Amino acid sequence: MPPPPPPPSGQAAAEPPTEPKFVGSSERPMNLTGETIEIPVQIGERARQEVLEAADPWDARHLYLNIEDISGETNPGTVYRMYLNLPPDAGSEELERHYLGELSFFGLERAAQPGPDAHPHGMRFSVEVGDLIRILRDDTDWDREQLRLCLRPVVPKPPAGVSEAEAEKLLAPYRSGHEPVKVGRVSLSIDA
Amino acid sequence: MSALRSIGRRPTLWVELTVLTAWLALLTGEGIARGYSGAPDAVSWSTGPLWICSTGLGAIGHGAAHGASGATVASAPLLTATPMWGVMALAMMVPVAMPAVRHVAGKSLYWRRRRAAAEFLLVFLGLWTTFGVLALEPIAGWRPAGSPFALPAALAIAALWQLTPLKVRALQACHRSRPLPPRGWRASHGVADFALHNGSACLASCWAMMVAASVPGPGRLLWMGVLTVAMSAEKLAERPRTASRRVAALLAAAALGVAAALLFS
Repeated sequence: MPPPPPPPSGQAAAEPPTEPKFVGSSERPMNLTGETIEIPVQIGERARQEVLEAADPWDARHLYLNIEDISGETNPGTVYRMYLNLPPDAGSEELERHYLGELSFFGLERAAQPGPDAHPHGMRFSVEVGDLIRILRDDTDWDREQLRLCLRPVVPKPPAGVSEAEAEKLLAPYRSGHEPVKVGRVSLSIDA
Repeated sequence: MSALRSIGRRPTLWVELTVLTAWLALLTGEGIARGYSGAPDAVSWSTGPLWICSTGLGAIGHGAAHGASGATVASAPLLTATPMWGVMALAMMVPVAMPAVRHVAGKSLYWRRRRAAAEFLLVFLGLWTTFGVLALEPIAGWRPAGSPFALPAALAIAALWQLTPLKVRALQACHRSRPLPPRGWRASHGVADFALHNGSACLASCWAMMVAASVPGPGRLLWMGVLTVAMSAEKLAERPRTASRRVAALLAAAALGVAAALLFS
């Protein structure tokens, strides 16, 4: 990986925070049930400039999108693809450009009920979003006030040579949805 | 220098300083009371009538009774005693709840970190104060609570509670988090909701040790310190059941020790 470019001359590098600094968050919990959902993350007004600056490649600060307090009775076995500010009717190029990563729920049932001699803990994922925010800032008409996390279930393609009836049978669990998995909060933080 | 700066920026620094102040107030009050009485075993601030938690010293309307130190003291009016119990809850229970306070402050939008911590503490201490008024006040008026054996009995009850499945479940519940909305009344409501759940779990986990800490007697501040460390340690320990059993053993040994000292002195 090439080293990040130096900051423009005359611009002082900002100091990264000593602990995560939360600058935006979703308003309420949402349930995943096998459908595509979009979770809005409002960026606090007084932190917007800081977020735009922290997205620069020479900045020592990093931006993270955190999917927090994930809970559910069972692991649904469905994997979700995460996209940031995905435009409606996005083509393959836009899907690639706005892609953040994949979200799976391995260990979900054990997180809340870990056994008699262990503490329960919330499940969370964090993904670095600085590069994508820079793209949104520089190459799109993003309003700079809100991020939208789009979660799309991954539906596998049936193997070649499988009959239509068999393919339908294979895909049925993905079409009927799954037990709800609750996403408590999606937040944006600045960290070292 | 940068280490000092980062300490100064901690959103929970004021909470830690408040706890320190509460302990200093308890120690100073103890010292002043001893200074006035001139006798080491005299009724002092921490063993005296100001404490609603001074079980066995007689409740409101019950007149005077004999404390563990043998001194005759009167009971405290609710108005005076409740704040004293509040100081005790602040000194003992807030250190135990510090991981939750740090969670609330750290997970809130950075410009409302201190406010979120304050909202948490308000509900958390309100819960403990209510417990003090509703539960300890009637115990204070109960005649057997005035016996010198009240302390070993309270320690033995606390040791037994440590071994129950309810205790372990409560200790585990102290570790559950809840989503914190970012702003407005929803944010305050979210913090209050988390404080209520966390505080209730903490109350279910620690009530017996707090009752033991409230029994008057010599060296009570030391007891309070030891119990605060025990409650904090079991909450931080990775294995709640094992930690709970270890604290139970400590409490049982203390109960036996105090009972033996009373019998053979």
